[in-house]
Amino acid sequence: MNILKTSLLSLCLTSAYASTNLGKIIDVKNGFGQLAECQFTPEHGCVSEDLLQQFSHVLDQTTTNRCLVSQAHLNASGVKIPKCPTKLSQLQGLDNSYPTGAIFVNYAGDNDMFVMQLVEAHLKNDPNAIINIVVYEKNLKWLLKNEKLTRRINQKNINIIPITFFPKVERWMQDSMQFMTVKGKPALYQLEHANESKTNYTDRLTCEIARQCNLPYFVPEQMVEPLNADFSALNSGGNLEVLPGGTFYRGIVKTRGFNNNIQYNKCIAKDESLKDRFQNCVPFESEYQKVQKAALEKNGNRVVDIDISFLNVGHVDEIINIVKTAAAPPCNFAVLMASPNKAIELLAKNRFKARLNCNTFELQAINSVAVHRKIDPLADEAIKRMYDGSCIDKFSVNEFLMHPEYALIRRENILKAKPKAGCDEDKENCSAKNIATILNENSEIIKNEIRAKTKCEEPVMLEIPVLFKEGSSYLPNQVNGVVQTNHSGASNFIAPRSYFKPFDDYVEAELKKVGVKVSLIHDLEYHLLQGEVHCGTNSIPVCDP
Amino acid sequence: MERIPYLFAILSLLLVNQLLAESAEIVADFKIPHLSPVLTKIHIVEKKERLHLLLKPGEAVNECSYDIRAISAPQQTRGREGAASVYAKKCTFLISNVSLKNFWDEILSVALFYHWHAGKWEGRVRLSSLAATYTYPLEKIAIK
Repeated sequence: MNILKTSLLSLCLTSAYASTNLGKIIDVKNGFGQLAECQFTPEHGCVSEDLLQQFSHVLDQTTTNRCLVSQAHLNASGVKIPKCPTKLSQLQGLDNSYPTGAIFVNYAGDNDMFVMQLVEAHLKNDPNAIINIVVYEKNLKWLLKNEKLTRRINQKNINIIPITFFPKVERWMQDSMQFMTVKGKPALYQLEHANESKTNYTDRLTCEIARQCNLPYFVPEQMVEPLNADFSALNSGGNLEVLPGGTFYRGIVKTRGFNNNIQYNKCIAKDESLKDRFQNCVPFESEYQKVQKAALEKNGNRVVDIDISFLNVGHVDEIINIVKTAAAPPCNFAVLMASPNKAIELLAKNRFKARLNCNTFELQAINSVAVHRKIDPLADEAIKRMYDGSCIDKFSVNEFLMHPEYALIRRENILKAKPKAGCDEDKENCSAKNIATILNENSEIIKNEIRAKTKCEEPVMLEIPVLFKEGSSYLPNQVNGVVQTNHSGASNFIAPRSYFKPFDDYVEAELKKVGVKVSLIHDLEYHLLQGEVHCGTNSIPVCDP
Repeated sequence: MERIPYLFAILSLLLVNQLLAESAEIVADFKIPHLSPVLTKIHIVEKKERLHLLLKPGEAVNECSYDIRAISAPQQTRGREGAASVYAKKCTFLISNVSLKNFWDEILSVALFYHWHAGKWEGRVRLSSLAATYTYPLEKIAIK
């Protein structure tokens, strides 16, 4: 009897406490546990006096520990907050059509123009919105040196989240965490970003945000298994998004031959003489993704996987986004889909528009100016000249279309040569499947899932012009924007400026047709590091319990 | 005597230029196994935001003139893979292995991707021609 009692006790203890070197996971329910160290307490949740003194003399109007818009503000704004998902006690996802409670951005020391334009666009759309600016202690001095920026952000809507350790996810606010909802309130789900793998939970950005923002913090219980710290880029927040109806969508490797994913490449047997060396690798999901799916499903969530094989970073937010439109329910949203075909169509239409030499408009050089001059307006004059010339990077459209580099892009995006006899599709990437085909297949999966989970029979799918090269977008990728949904009814979409007028005009016009306002901002320093606005931000959706 | 400040200014300018000129250098080795067992070496030097790319495919040294498409400097790779993507403008290869020479003659763009993992740099190279794209793991990569 005693033995039985002891066994039962050990079983209970095992299920309640999962010990790991990275932190002690407690209170496990439905596949997710919590960490006491990541919960708010006055001693480690409140910003210390020492830290406050470093910036409060300049940023004397900003707040700390106030990360979320108040219920009173939401009520006063007139926004109609949709009901929370029915399974209140479980961790659930909310899509972008729910109102935005706050957004997050990281001041990284060289992204002044990005932060400035993001804040301006956000507050212009909703003067009472809350913007959280995460600042690593050592970057505070750079922030405080920029008077123009500090003047702009020194207001009560801006909440500063100072952190004393370097955030390993750097500027990529999307990647470390996923905002969820539980019991009608926002909650944080700790993801397994490659750079944070094997790092103590208490030294991860999400844990610190949970502490300072007083949000519950959740980790899948199996994360105690070392195998799951697999360093895969597929584990990031940009690769876990929510559809209307509540289904999570993620990217996995479904198509052989692109060989962009590091872990997928490691799966392929090195012996080239083996004919079936790729056989068991596709479809490929990371070890962590398996744990993630199990934990989400235990909470009653559905998870669908789409194909990101051709992407270098490999996140679904590079190819799909959701905005709330002005249409009546149940189809009051639109799915934004990256479209190489639309990009090529717009290029053809604008073929002979160039009127000047575009050599001086190379994106890399423009970014250097932006980083160097901080927020000095390279902007208006240079952009106007670039736009007047319809320059695409440093080419006129006609030059670009005649350039062999465009022939490469066209092959990968819409053509793909048919396999030659004897061609090894894995080795030579000569499969007939082009990027547009993969995106069309993804589009069907998304449409069918929305139909199954909502009453919307014909979801609006909007094509956003994007050309892919070397696994990422050739120009700043306009699918990858942050969605701000507030009292206006439809979302505001803060997207990267592509610096190519036909694309910028098209995106603004198409979204305007469905009632969505677009704010284009400078994000080249993100684009050149293989990310964009959405990757560099995060947002808290809110619901009515 | 009054020339000394000018001289000092010129020297300072030269020093700053020198510092800017050699901000990053990447050397990567890989094999194109179906063509040659010998390592190919790519040497990229970032100078004043321009890349100079030196290829050593096997036995010969070949200099190419390349246009940069994108580079994320090594110190900026935290959180994402580093990338150096270049487009070949004009290259002349002096390679006796005919298959290898034909292969390189058709390559239009070269992209390196690299990340820091388990205490060392790892990465892969993508070589694209109008007909196909080839991806190979890097045997070795050094970033200075």
